[in-house]
Amino acid sequence: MKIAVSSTAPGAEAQVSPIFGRCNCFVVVDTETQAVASLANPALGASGGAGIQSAQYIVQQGVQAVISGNVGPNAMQVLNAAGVDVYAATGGTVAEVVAALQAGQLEALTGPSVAKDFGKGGPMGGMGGGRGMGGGMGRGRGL
Amino acid sequence: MRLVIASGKGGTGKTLVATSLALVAAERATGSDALPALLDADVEAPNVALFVRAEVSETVAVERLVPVVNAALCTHCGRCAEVCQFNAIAALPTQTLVFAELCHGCGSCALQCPAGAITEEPQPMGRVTLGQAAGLRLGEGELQVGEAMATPVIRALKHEAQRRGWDGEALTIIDAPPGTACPVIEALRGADAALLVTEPTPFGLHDLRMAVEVARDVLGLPVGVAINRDDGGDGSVAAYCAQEGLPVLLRLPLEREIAAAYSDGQPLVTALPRYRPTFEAALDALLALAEEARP
Repeated sequence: MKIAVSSTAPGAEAQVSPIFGRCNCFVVVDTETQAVASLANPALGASGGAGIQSAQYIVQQGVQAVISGNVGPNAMQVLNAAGVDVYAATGGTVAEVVAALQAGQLEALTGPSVAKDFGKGGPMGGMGGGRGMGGGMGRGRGL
Repeated sequence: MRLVIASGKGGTGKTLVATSLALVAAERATGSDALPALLDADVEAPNVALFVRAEVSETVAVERLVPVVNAALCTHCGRCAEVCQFNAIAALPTQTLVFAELCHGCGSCALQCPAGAITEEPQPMGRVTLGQAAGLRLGEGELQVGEAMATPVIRALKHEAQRRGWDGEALTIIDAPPGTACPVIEALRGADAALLVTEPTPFGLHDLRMAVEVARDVLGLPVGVAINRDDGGDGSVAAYCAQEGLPVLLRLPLEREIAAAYSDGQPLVTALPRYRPTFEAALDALLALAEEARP
């Protein structure tokens, strides 16, 4: 089975990323051959639709499962449509979460675990300062 | 003659200023054929109608085109997703998914599809309402809840007003959305002058600078400034205007009565007629600014 893990860096010892669409890297592990391939996320810098583009990219890699800290609604819809199983992992290295999946210890996600734009940071990228959860629609109106 | 009331920062008093300027213009025009028009281009939260009650005569739907994939013709080549600049399409091995809320309606996918499997179909995104109040024509654009792009609705509002000849000889005042992004640029485009409403605070100054960059420097419009809640602040807004040679055409004090009238849905010149001369002078000054710049 080929498993794609959203990760913070390349390699099997990298940490699983808490985000999917804008994660730094996808590490694809083939559990039969033990082959590990690290792929840069083509959607990392997308101004919008990062989840859609990265999910399409992962489907094109022919994986059967995805492990990520969280997955947003658009990415989830793409992965579901393509029949890719999605599992949540709150921490650990790529190697550890793949082992956990094989041991049946990971929770399968059937719906998105976070709202749209969860991992969309400010202009410098990354989580933290940006929008966080929930749709930030405020415009500071009022008299 | 088209005047746009814009601001940069939200909540500085665009609608407060636009409604009173329009009412002053309406009083002047009474009896003539060419009624002035007030267009509410703050389509994400239009509120002019709360202050100037109009009889609605017409509602026009605003639509945008979104791609629809014919699954029987699709060869899953992925070209549509490749050309989409907004990642609105996911091309999967056996399915093509369209995320309409991300689509900007550019039409590239339909144009590039080698199988002719994509057609563009209209999807409602908002509406334009046209009507009339005492001595004033009123137009309002409203973006449908859930839609992300305000610009096409603002364009439609201007287009519908223009199509009905509202623009010709008469004065049109546009209440622009806040900010300095595409919707504001669409509201400002084609204006004869812009009045930028600000407040004497560091935030007010920061966003005024950006609004000046857009209206004066990018679009080349004659620009005047209105300082609302003018309690002096730190004086930096007035200093900036002096330094940039921007005329301050209107000053409104920080006054409880003004806020109370606004909260009550009353236009300022109606609730507090003592401000009428202030708005008459501001309108004259703005018109003069626009006239001066005409070739």
